[in-house]
Amino acid sequence: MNEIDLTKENLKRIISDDLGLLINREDITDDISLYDDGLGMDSITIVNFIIEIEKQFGITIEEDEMSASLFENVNSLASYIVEKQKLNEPLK
Amino acid sequence: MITELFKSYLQLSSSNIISDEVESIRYKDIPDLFSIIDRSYDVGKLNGCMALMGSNKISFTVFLLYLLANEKSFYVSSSYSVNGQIPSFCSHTITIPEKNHHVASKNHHEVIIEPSSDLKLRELSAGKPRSVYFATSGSTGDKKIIRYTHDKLLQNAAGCIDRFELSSKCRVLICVPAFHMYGLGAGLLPSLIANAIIKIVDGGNILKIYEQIRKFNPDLLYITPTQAKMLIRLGKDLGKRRFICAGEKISPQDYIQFEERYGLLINLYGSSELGAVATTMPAHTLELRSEGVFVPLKGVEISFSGGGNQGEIRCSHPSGFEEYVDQTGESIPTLAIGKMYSTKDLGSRMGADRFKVIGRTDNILNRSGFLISIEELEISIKNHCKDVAEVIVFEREDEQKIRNELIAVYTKVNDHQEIELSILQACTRNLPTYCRPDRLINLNNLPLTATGKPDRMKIKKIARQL
Repeated sequence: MNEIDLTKENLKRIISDDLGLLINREDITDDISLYDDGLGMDSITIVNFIIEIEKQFGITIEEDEMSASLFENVNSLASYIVEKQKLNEPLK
Repeated sequence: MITELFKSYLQLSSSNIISDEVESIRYKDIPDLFSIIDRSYDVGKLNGCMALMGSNKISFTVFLLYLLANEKSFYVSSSYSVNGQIPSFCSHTITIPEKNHHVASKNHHEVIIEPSSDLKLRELSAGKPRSVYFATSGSTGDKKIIRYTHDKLLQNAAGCIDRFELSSKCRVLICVPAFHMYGLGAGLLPSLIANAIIKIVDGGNILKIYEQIRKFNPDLLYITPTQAKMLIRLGKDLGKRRFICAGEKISPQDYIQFEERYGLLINLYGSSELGAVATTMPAHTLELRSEGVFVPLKGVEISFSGGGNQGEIRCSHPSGFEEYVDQTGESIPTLAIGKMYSTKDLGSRMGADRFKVIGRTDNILNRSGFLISIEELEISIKNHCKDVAEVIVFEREDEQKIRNELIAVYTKVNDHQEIELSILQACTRNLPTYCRPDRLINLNNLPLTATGKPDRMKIKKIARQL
């Protein structure tokens, strides 16, 4: 499993297990919207999701990176997280 | 036609911009848009009361101003109202499509104006006084319809300008529904009268608020207590700004935390019936502001039932509502106490021109001879038990028992954690015996009213069924 796929799986685990939502892991596809037209996450859930992502992936989502489109789906988030983690890696 | 009354409040000549998330217009474009509405819909010829479906969009703002400018009767309806019933005295419904409607691009044919099917009601509607109608949120009782005259509504909005220091230089971001009395009467209309640069966003998505703060760079924001709490929890740095917040009480701890990170928070006390009544004052100490010490707006008088310094807050407002009406537009008689309106809030005087709101009178309980405010108790439980996300407390009447049960319905910050025992322990440690809940009920989510407040009636009903 490559980095992106692993991140997607971890994001799906957070959504199904850590946010107190009644969502089955198999219902979370890579491109399903996280909002009302998909998984139905409300603002409070998104806030909790952001906090979990920062904690579990060890990253900080900067103020100027916060956008509705970043949290569009698992695809967009996974790409962002992998990029962010690469930037955080110490230079070899 | 634009009435002289409207012109005395709104000039519509500024080059400042009003925008939503997809389109923007200048103030001076609005008279041309009025002409388009006249030509396209013949609204000018309609005499009945129109139900205008509310939304945080420019198209709603333009139709609202059109109806105000022509002194038409209209009922401002919440587009996502749970009981979105249109009163039967409305002769027509004006529906603005949800997605990508550009009133400024003249793609206006998408707006749907439908006549009521009942001809008799349409005739009846034409005979009613020219007014603006709102529905109350119904969070603590039955929904009522409130009638304002056009003059009073505009006067009410104009009364907010000085207190909120609104001017044509202000950049105002409205993140609350612009079709309820808070967002409309204290937010959108005063900002329009002041010719401010305005952006209206759908506040249902906290990320959109973040984006707009960055892109639009507002100096004044209208938010709800829930949004304030979410901003605190996220704890990001957005620069210091001014925020206006109305709704349920913000705890002193949250208030202080919010101000430390985001800037000045002005708490607004008001109601659908009276509009803005009082605010916390930037000139006061942080202690006074965080404790919710209010100063009335100009012309507003506050007194307390019984004539003392504590009791139900009574308010005389120079530009309040006219009356309550029922679904057919008939007046609902109310018990008037002189010119004073009974707010159903319990408060106490804190000095010559200051007062504090303790809670709703129907949210005050008599437990073993002690008066307790449910709101204060809820804040206290949350403060002492950080794993509780939201809590609603109420008394369940039980004829079989000597004392009514005190029920606390709560949601958890982390749904997987068992916290009932820790709540009980926290209550035992920190609350007097008469304040401690007899029973705890955990729900995954609390049902909300159309305005986003916890729906206490529904929560009680759910708890009764469990």
